This record gives sequence, C-alpha cells and structure tokens, in this order.
Amino acid sequence: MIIRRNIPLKLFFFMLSAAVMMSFVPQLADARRAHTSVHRSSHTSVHRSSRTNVHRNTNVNVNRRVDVNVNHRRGRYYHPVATGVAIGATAAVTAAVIGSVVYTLPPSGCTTVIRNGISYSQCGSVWYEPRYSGNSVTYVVVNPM
Amino acid sequence: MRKTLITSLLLAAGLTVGSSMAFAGEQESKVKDIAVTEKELAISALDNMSEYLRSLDKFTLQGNANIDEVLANGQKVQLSRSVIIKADPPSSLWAKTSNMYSDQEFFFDGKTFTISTPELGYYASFEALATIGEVIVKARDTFNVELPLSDLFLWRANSDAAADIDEAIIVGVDQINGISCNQFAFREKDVDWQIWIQRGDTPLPLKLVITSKDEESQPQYAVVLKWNTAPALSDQSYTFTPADGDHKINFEIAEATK
Repeated sequence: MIIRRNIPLKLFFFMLSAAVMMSFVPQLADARRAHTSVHRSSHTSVHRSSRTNVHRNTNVNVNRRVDVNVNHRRGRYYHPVATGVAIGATAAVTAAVIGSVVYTLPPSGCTTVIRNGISYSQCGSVWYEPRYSGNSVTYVVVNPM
Repeated sequence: MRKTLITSLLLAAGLTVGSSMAFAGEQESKVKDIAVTEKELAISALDNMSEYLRSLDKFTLQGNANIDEVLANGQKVQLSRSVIIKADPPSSLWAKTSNMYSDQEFFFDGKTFTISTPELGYYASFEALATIGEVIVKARDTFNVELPLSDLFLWRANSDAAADIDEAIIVGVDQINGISCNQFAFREKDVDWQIWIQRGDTPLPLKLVITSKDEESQPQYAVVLKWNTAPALSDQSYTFTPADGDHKINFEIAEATK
C-alpha cells in the first residue's frame, strides 16, 4: 500500500523533471536531421556540379556547365559520368555540323595541326578547334583548314 | 487512491505545459536578442579571418575537396579533388587541382594569367595587370574559369559579401585535423555555407562547406584545408612556361560578356 501510494508522487516528480529538462533544450525539439536513408525521390534533370565558392557570380551561365571532368583525351581513366554526357554531343559529331561542340575527340585517328598559330585537331575529314569553355577543354567543329 | 493519482497526473501535466510555455516564451525573447548579436559575432569572426588572411605575407595550402554532382536522373555522386595553392600576395599565385581524370594548373604573375591542362597539352592565357582577387574575378566573369578556393582571396573585411548573408549562427566548437576551431553557419539566397575558423591568434579557415539551394537535391561542396603560413617560395615560378608539345588555345568568351 505504501509502495502504491508512492507511484503518483514518483510519476509527478518524473514528469516535473522531464518538463524542466525539456524546457532547457528547446532547440533539440526543433532540430531537423539531414536524410540518412537512401529511400528518397528526386526529379532534378540538370547535370551540374555543386557551387564551389560563396562569392556571388555575375554570370548566370557559369554553374550550368556540363562537366568539369571531361579532359581525358589522352586520359588515364574512363569517366562514366563524363562519357554519359558526351553521348548526346558525339551524336552531333557524326553529322560534323560546323559550330557544334563536343567534349571529347574520337579515341584515335586525330592529329594536331597548327594553322596561323592556332591549334586544331584533325580527325579524318573533321576539324576541331579546342578551346577552354570555363575550366574544361571542349572542341568546336570548324571548316577544314 | 485513484483520485490522488489523477490529481497528481493533472498537476504534473499542467506544470509540464505551463513551465514549457513559460520557458518557451522566455527562450523566444532571448533567442531574438541573441540572434542579432550572434549574426554580428559570426560576421565579425569572418571579418577577423579575412583581415588575417590579408595580413599574410606568403602562404601555401593543401585542400581535399568533395564535390557532389547531380546526375541527369537526380542521383547525387561525390567526386574528390585535391587542391594545392601557393600564394605570394598581392599578385603572385600558383594553384593546381587534381582528380582521377585530370590535373589543372593556374599561373598568375601579376601580368599574365594562364590555365593549363598538362594531360591534354593545352593552355590559355590572358593579360591582366591586377591583384590575385581581381584576376580571379576577371577569369570568372569574362571566361567562366573558376579558380580553386577563390573565396580565400575574395573575402574582405566589411565587404559587401556580408550584405548577402541573410542569417548567421555560431554552431559551436569543433576540431579539424586536431586543431580547435569555431564553426559558423551562414544562409544566403542560393547557398547555405559553413566555415570552421581556427581558434586563437591565427584565425585561418580550416574547412568550408557549401550547400547549393538552387538545385533541388542541394549538392554540397566540402573542403578541408591544411595551411603553411611561413613557406619558402623562392623557387616557385608564377609564370607559365609551355612544355614541348604544349599548344596555346583560346578561351570561349562567357555569354554575359559577348
């Protein structure tokens, strides 16, 4: 009987102490954890890198560059992400439309030719002018020199 | 007996709610007061760091960066990149970034800026009589070329960068590579970012995390830095010398400046 009498009292003190403790840590109740599960959906269709600096850029196009890691013409390793990106661009190469841009050259059969101090890559009958598009080297299809 | 129990429960519940509300009210007004001070404190820590960075005669640093990329299907993958910077302010800089696929080098000697991709044998240059900070802005705005860790050269005490900061909090004390630092978190329109600044007399940034909010999946960039603020740089060349077989190519001009 004595024990049972103490239960409400103990309960009261427990809840009182819980109330006091909780009131000291309100931020914990509000904090949100980042997702730690792989089960989530996303529908982003833009392939891009995350921003690597906090200083505002006046150029709106800079963060829309396709991939910064495609410089592997004589590359050491295969980059599945970059290659995935290049597929669409390579399709345009086949047609060799003047002014179209590719991210990699055909793997073989290209030679470097210098005309008027400018470096070109000649791959069969198609001529490319390499240039820096942001930090990446891209190749523009140009008229044969 | 049962009555006592119910009374106690009600009393406890009442106290719980009551005290929580009282505390919450008190907390809210405190938070408001602290928020103003906390933002000011965080920004002044940033200013303090900027001032210290600007006071350095020479420095080198090594950084390891993780960069999220969002694939076309929305999947995020993380790429690694290492960065080395050798700086002799105000106008000499050499930097190199490396990942599994490519190395890239940056040279600036106060007159000519060059970006080079040794693996491809290509490089491109432009002339600029400028400081490191100015050439970084020109490379970025005119040619879309991003230098690694450009923020280090763009933070300035009392600069307009602070005006872009909407919110700032002091996260607390943390440790990077065994060095004690203060962690701050900032919110801007397009990015949330965090910085870890070394505690004590040498307030160096030791870690930077940037979360891009303009992308649905919020990709992150995180870099941890190791500094040497008293390097011997006598042998360092800031002028690019092409190797045999290197070819000079052009920049594609950024859309905005065409």
